[in-house]
Amino acid sequence: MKDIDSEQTFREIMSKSKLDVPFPDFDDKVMGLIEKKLLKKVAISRDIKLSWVFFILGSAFGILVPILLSQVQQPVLGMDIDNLRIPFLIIFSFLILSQIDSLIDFYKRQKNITKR
Amino acid sequence: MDEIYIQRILEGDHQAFRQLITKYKDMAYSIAMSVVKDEFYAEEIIQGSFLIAYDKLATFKGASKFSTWFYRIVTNQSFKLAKRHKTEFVDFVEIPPEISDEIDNAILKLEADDQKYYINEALKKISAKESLVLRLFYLNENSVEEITEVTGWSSSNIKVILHRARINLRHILTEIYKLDKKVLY
Repeated sequence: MKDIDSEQTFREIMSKSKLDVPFPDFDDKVMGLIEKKLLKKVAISRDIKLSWVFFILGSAFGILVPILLSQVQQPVLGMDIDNLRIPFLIIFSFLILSQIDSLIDFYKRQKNITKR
Repeated sequence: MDEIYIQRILEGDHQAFRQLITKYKDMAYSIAMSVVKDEFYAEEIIQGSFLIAYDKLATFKGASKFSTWFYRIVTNQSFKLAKRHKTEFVDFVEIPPEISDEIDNAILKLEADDQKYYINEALKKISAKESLVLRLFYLNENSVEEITEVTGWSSSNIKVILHRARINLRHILTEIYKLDKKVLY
């Protein structure tokens, strides 16, 4: 007579404890989530590239404007050009520094995501 | 074989991951069910575990088997979710051994499907740790060392859990069987 306490019988009984995933679409669901994640990664790196392009364009524009302003000899809207140039340079410096910081942070985060 | 799939995935063929899902989903589900005892939670766990495994595949160095590495993720995710939902378990009731032996024989004479039903019902009622260790040791045929890797528990702790689990499972199995007979007759 078999004894449930014996190692062999217990192993036999436990071999029946395997459960099958009761969701027939499970594999497709997981693969779908993976594909979604991959698309997201591609979109993030495209966004980062665009951010760098606009950052460079903006920086070039910001450098160009004070140079062009220095060429103008007449007052603009009744204001002296030198008085306009200094506030512009302050705003431009602030913007460029904050954007560099954001871009570096964004780039680091993207690196972490794509590394996975 | 797993190494080939892993290599292909790391080279960018993400479809190769489907092979790993097909191969490991059932055991992963059994592990998750051991801990959370609910099929929808278990599905959530294995789904999340496969995503984590996919994301972290580059960190898998092959020091252990892929299955061991993956089941560790499943186990961690299962206990995390169980903690979040504060899963509770039913305590077993001690029964006289002579009745136990009698019912043991009756259980052993059951059809395979009925045995499967009773064993899985009993595994649902014992504690998460006991159920998990029993499935890893007897069903997945892991050694105590491998179970240590999967669970992170010490081998002496696993041996104690395994011993207690066998006793508890037998008692619960008997209880469920007795209860079913009472309802039926």
